Amino acid sequence: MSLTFVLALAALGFGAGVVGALLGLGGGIFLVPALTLGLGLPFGQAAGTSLVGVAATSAGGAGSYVRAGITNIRLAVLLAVATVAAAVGASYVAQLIDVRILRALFAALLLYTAVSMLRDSRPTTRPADAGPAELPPPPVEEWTIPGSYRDAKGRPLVYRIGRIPLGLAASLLGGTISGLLGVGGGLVQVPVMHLLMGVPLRVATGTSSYLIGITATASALIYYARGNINPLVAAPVALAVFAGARVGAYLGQRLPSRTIKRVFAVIALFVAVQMILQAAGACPWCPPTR
Amino acid sequence: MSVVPPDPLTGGAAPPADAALARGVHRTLTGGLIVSFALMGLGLLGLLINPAAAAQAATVVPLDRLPAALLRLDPAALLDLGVLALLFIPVVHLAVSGVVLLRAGEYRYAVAAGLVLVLLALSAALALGRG
Repeated sequence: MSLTFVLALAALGFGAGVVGALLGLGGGIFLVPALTLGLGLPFGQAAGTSLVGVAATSAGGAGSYVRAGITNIRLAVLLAVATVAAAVGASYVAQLIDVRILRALFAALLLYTAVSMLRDSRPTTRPADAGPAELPPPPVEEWTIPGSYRDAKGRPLVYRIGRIPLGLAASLLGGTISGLLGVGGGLVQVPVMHLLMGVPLRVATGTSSYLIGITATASALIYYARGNINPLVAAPVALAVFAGARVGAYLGQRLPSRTIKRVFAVIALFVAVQMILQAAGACPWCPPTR
Repeated sequence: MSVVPPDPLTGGAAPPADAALARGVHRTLTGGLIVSFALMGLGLLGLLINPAAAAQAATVVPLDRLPAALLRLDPAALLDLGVLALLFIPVVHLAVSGVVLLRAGEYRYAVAAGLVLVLLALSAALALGRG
């Protein structure tokens, strides 16, 4: 393995970290296709490497949210029961099923991401501290989780989370996606918390940042044992993704987020098409499928 | 769910365990990242100094040989340990969270933390069984 290859890994990891942070996503959604389409890594190894990258960005990002009192650790611990259980099973299954199916599933996830980014790029006046606008208040329930945090202006706000059994059931999907495809699962977890359980978006993002690290670890151990985590690949990627996420978070406060989301929605669509073509064996310009 | 200003009488004060939870988890995350990245950095530096070791670094060092390899400052072993340390961070902060929640009498969440730890142990057992 040459120094050039390691530098290429670091560059891809850094880019994935920047993009992920700019879009409020983990790096995995861009890292896996970058490693498979760009460097020709086997899908399993790309997914395993991505999980290590997710663990690194989660530890870094979650630290900031936890210190700011935004992460609801109780909620994260509860949902982790579902995500970890699903991730362990799914990562085990991922080692056994045809890689073309995994590529096709990943392409579907990219399409969903692209649609989400296009939807999020529409103008909105709702602040990140508001609850979901569309859902009625949850019925009076026995089991709710209280929480409090300070908004961007430092004002204390309290909230109460409901529909916990539903949230747990929906989180199984987040864990499954993480285990199968090597992403953090935040794409599922944030909407589950915000739209289903009524968590303020800022808290959902901070809690997801903490939760995906736990989920990724559960999957990564399986990938590690199967030889799908090459330390010489995973280490520079983890370091670079972490650094990229820091830069992306800094830039995200200074760049127009709607424009960024539209641009990357188009890129995600393009990459999704590439992955579908690669899965179908109809991508002559792609690196050989492994 | 409603997001409302806190009760003026209580000031929206967070449960007592919240500060201890946040402090414990934050320290674990930060400390774990520093240890993990330091090990990875040392491993990559070792490979820069000794490029011939790169071939060995491409595969995982068996766990039973890891201590001896670390004593030799084998770059591959340092990279391995760095990756494992990174993956071990959630185990530590979940254990910390579980203890804090247990002491605060929040048994439901302490049990949940314990359950997640059991699931992670299962994942590790599956990994060791196959690796």
